[in-house]
Amino acid sequence: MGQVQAAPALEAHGIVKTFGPVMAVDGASIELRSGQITALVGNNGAGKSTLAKILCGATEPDEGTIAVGGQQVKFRDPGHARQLGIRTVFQDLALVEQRDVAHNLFLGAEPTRFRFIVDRKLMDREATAALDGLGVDVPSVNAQVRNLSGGQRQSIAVARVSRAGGQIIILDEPTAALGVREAARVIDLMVRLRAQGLALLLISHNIERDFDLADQIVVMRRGRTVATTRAGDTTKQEVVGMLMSGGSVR
Amino acid sequence: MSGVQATGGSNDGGLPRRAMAWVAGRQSAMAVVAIALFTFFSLAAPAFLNTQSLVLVVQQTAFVGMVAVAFTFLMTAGELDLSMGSAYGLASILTAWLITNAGLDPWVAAAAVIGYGVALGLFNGFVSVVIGVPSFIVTLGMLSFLRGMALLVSNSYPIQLPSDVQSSFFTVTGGELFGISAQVIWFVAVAVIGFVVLKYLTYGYHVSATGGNPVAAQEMGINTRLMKVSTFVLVSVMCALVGLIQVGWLRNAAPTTGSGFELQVIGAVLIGGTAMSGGEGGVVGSVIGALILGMINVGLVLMGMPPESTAIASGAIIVAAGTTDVLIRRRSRSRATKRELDVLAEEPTSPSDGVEAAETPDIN
Repeated sequence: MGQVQAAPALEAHGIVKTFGPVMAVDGASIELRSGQITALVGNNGAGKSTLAKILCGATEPDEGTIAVGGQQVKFRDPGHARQLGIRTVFQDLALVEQRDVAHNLFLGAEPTRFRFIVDRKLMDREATAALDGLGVDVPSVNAQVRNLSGGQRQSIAVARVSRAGGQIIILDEPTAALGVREAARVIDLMVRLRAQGLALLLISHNIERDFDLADQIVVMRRGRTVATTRAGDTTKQEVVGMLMSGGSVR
Repeated sequence: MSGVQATGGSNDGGLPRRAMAWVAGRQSAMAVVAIALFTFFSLAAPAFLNTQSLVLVVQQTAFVGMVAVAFTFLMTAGELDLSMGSAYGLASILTAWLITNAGLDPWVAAAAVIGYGVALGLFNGFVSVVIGVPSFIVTLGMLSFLRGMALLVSNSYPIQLPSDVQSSFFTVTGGELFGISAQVIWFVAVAVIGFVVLKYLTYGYHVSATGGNPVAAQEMGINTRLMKVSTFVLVSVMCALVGLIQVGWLRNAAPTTGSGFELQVIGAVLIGGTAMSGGEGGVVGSVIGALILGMINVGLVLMGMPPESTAIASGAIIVAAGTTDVLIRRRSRSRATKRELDVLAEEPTSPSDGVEAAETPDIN
């Protein structure tokens, strides 16, 4: 991807974050590009989640620089990062179970008539169009979210961040706890978002699955990004080897 | 709120299934109960069917119903108010005191009492939402505090308005229009407005989202604190309004007015199917719930039962409604879990590559 190298959608260099005596992130660097899926892999405690929280503005790094579209920034809070198009889909979904699909897609930004009246028809229509466009399959946009499967719910959560104007989407293990077919729905959705030119960061344990999906794999070990590889250039065994040994291929 | 009716898959077509879903739906089930009660009382106490009795039922229902509409918003937002009975009692005492003892014009007194409602709601909301004391505790304290204030202001005696005080206030609160008494008109107006606001306006959507998942709602830019505090104000203002109408209607106020009122209101809303846990509520259900309690109050007395029986019957039906609610939710939850398990069972579980094994404790 990228014969002409534009500035990465989001990049971070030399990120350090300590919690007391614990070095959670120790000089990590990562570059996310538009139209690419980057997989961030590593064992538990390798610092993936901390790095992700730093990238979405939830945690402030001790050291290091972050740039969005080539512009260096310092996030004040997650809201600031959101304004810059960075969205996170957390494992615990953030859907309102009792409400229907359409409302969850437009939560807090419901289309209105005369400012105060929710334009239900327009909301349903746009929700249907948005989900169709992303290939998300739900029985009806008026179905209550709590009656949907885990994959459908995850897809709605992902669809919402893209609908809400996210350009850079961080997904925290979006397919964890999903069956293969359910996971496939979510993966299909990620592929579509990539095709729309979004930059996706996928935090993951599952190398098997993400190896074929990702354009770029960033391996983290003990707080360091030990390797950044194109998925195609490396074999799965090599990535697993990097996870185990911390050795660098590049 | 579409959520309340949809217990099962309202989406998967088929008339029989949809009919089943409708019957299983909370509001419709309660409508059936209301009709059954109506039929029962009509047969058991012939006097129940005459116009006077029916008017009495609606009048009995009006005050509980009005506050129940507001309380539906509060409970949907995930909060609780136990002080409603005393808030109403103090409102009526204040109204009577301001007119009788302070000699204020009834309209001025009315404005002051509405102001009292706003202040009370802001206080309850502030302590619960901003300071973070559970609303159960705050409003339980206020239940006692406000009752004490009502007794103090009135010296524990009822206040009778002087008969020479004339004002259009008494027409608006205690008059009639086309033979329909004012409080019934107020009740219908409040119910219709409440229904529209909760079901169709952004405010209703945001209140529901706040009660359903406060973290998600806030994440998506909804001011959840404002939503919660405003519903506290809604409830307290409605208690104040009911107090005003009561004084305008009867031209007197008793310091014990409204004792046990909160139970009736909470009962009506629970019977109507609004979830204790927040996130889903329906004004129609609350109105039906209030009507059910009103019918029991009037019907049992007309059947010649002792007055105590109404308290027993109301209490029993509230417990029954709460139990039904829990059972329905448990069943739909276990169905959802089963569906997920079915999905997992029909597929091989996701391949794992052994890398998942933790070598260091997760500090992230």
